[in-house]
Amino acid sequence: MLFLMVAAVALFAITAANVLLAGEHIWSEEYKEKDCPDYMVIVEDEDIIQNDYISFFKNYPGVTRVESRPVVVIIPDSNIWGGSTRGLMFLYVYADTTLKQGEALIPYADLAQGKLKIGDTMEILFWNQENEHRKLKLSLVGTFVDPVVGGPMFHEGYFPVSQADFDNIRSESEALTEIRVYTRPDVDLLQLQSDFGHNGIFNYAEREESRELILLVPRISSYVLVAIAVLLMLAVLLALRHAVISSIETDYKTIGVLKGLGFKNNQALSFVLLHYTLLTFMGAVTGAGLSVLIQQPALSLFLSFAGLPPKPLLFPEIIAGIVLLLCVMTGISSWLTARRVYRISPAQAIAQGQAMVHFSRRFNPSLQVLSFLPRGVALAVKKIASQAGQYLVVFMVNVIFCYLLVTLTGFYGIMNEYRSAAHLFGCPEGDIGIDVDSDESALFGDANQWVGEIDTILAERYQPKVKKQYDRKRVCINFHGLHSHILGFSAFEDIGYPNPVAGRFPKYDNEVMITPQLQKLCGRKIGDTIILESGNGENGKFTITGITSYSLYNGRIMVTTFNGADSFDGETMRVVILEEGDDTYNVIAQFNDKFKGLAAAENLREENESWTNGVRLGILGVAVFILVIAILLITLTTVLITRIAIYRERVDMGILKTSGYSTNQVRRQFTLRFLLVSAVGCSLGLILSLALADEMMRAILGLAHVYNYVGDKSLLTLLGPFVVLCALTTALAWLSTRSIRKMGVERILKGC
Amino acid sequence: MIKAKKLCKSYANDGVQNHVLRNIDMEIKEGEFTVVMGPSGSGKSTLLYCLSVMDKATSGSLYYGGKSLDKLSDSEMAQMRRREFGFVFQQIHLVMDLTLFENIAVPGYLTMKAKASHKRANDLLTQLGLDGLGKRLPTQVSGGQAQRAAVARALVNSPKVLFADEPTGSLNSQAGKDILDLLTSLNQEGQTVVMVTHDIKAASRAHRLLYLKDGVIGDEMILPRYDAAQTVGREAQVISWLTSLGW
Repeated sequence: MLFLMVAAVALFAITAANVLLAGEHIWSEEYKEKDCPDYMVIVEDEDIIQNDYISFFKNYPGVTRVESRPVVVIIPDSNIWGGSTRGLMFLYVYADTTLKQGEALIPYADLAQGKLKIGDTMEILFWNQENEHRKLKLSLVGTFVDPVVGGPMFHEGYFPVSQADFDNIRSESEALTEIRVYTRPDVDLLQLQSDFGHNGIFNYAEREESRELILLVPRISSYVLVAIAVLLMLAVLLALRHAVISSIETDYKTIGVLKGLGFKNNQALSFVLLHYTLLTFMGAVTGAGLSVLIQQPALSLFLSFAGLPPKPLLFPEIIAGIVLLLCVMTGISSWLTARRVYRISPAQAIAQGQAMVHFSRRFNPSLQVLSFLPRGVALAVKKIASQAGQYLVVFMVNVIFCYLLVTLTGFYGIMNEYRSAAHLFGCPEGDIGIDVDSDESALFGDANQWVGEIDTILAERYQPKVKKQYDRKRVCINFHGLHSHILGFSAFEDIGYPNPVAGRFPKYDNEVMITPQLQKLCGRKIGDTIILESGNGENGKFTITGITSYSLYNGRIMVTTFNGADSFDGETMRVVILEEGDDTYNVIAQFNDKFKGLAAAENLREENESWTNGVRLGILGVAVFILVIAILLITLTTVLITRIAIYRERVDMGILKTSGYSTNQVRRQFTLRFLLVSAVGCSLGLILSLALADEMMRAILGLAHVYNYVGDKSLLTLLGPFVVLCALTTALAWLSTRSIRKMGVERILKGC
Repeated sequence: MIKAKKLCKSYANDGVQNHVLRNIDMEIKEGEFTVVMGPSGSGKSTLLYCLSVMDKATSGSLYYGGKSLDKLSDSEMAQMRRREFGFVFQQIHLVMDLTLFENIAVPGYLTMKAKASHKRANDLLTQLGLDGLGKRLPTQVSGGQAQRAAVARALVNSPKVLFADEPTGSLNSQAGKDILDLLTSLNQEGQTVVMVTHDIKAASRAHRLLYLKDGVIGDEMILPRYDAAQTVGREAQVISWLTSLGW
């Protein structure tokens, strides 16, 4: 068991290091120098402007390289991304000379997340200068990786097509230009953006931010794996301590005889330590071997969501270092424990034949003091208290895993409810979204007609079931040189979203809430006045009234009233919240019919649910993983400690049996101890979870710019893990005590 | 009270059968003080374990109060040990992390409520001269005091028969005498006692002595009820009997 536990520690520690280092390696070696621009902007494709822009960057001090390529805005058909209609979401096509006509590539991240697969066909829509739309069928033939557009920054935004198809699209559509700027490391990119002064449709100066986002999943995965490895290591050290003590007790007489024959203390100590040293070394090597075997699937699991295809990367020095560290730690721990052999007197050991059961006199409560408890429980409590060190490992495992599982089930509970999940991550809170921006809606007709159509469809075909409606305006904004977004909501308090985590909702049109991410970047606080500037040169003064949590757009979000945002030019979406969310699909279907397959309204619910399902599945995966680890560890520790306890107390069991205790009563007494230890451990885990889990999750989710996390605290999420862990520990302890059945009274009294 | 018919016990060691008890026929009568003697390896302790249903005989029959004990389940054997029999060991065998009081009270938990068991334990501590030592751990008292506590533990459930396996074997002479006085006094109050011993002084306390050799009862001697004034004479009688058996 110790062997397995040490192997598990090595496996987790090496996998954690490998995932983290592989992520860093892929980023720094594969992307940094070659592909990742330090600054990127998409501008209108007017030659003069473009040339001016390119000249600006080429002449800017510290710029080492400038690249540009034409891109064209398209709309994907409604059958990709799980059938969800994307509305007027722009995607970009660009020419890839390696592709044949009719072929396209998809970002690796989309393939990894199962949104699309090789061989799918998709139809894209683009429109000509007269606003007439055209269609083009493409076959997905492969994937591409790009640190910026293929990763989490913008991974759904690009589709490389063949040069012929691109020329065909470009001949009819207005093209834009993507400019990629590479600079020396000392260039202040915020200053560059500020000097550039043009916000365009999209722009970002984000090498460091791309790096942060790409490495987010590997980092969190590594932290979780390291945390599990540390916890496992703690369990290993405790289990090792008891195993060594148990060995000394078992070999008590032998050690006495050896010392009597003239063995020195250190020689006697080596006798005890030798096989533990070998055991832990073999365990560490086995774990290292396993980590090499699973490194490809592990990297695939942890890196693919960031758009990084797994590459077989091994770091032998890290593997050797972790194996060595494990051996040193277990070696020191065993040595410290095994020094007990120094205290063994040869005469006493030979005379007594067996070591006395160690117990604490200080923590040895009297049964009279415990007489308020049922008799069996009192006896169990006394035994646990007087031999607390023995049960500590089981206790800790229960505390830790109850804490982790309650935390995870609380998170799952939040993600399991559509609206709470949407609130948490700042997804548009609603079922249907209609883009009412005048420019784009003109492609399909009047925006008001769409809104009217929604009302008609709802009223005539589905009965009025609209719960709430609000307008949301999004504007790209320049805020202290940071590319950010301002969102304007028409009815904050009515929809109760987005919540302030500090301060209050904006009441007036010149008030704004900012995210902690922006607060950190610009150093502003509640009460400060800030100036916001749009790409068209419009600007306005706003007072910060609160801090809100909003994870979209990498946390660079400001929230104001609808009128506040309406002073800028941007995109407006009418968001409809239905009484029954299940009606959403039918309403959207009507709109698709009405507009002949063109994207008229977005199924926000489906989009959000598709995304939250992914997160939920992720949580479920982590929860199952942790549960498996919990089962493994609880099994190992319970079985190990039960066996040690049975061995140590074999004579006591004989005494109890002689006094009239049946085998089952003795087994129940042992099992009861584990039930009590587990119940107290799980209770502490539960209390810790109630006290700390939300803070911990906020710290973790803060990496993804989520700061308003409050876990679900239902009876099921709180007591489910408690019951599962207690039941598991108790069942295992009961099964482990089966050996008591075979122990004859006479033989155990003789210490056999 | 306890009757054994053709009782056999054998162990298999590496495929070789070791016959420890061979066709033992014997009876323990109520109120008797029976002593089993014999050379080492003669099967004395095994006989005691079989009679006290701590171990099952390989063949033969055992009766208690006319009722067969041959087919008892583990739970029924435990019930018998709990309610009918008490046991005292040579190695004392107190649970080391329980105080003397707790060692005595814990078996009582099986037959009575905690408070009643605690009262009974306190009464026994007083009765056996262990007043004030109840809170001490076994390592904090002398061997004689610990053995007294072990006797008290054996008595907590008021057993009909008290078995003792060389109870003075690990004690000094004074402590051994005290324990023997205690057992004798209990017997004089009506307690049935079955004791295994090598000690002539201990054996001289008995009414009936059984001599076991190679798993077979070789001889039996009846003595009058113990009288402290006749100790020397009784011991001489026992020595003479044992000498005649080749002791």
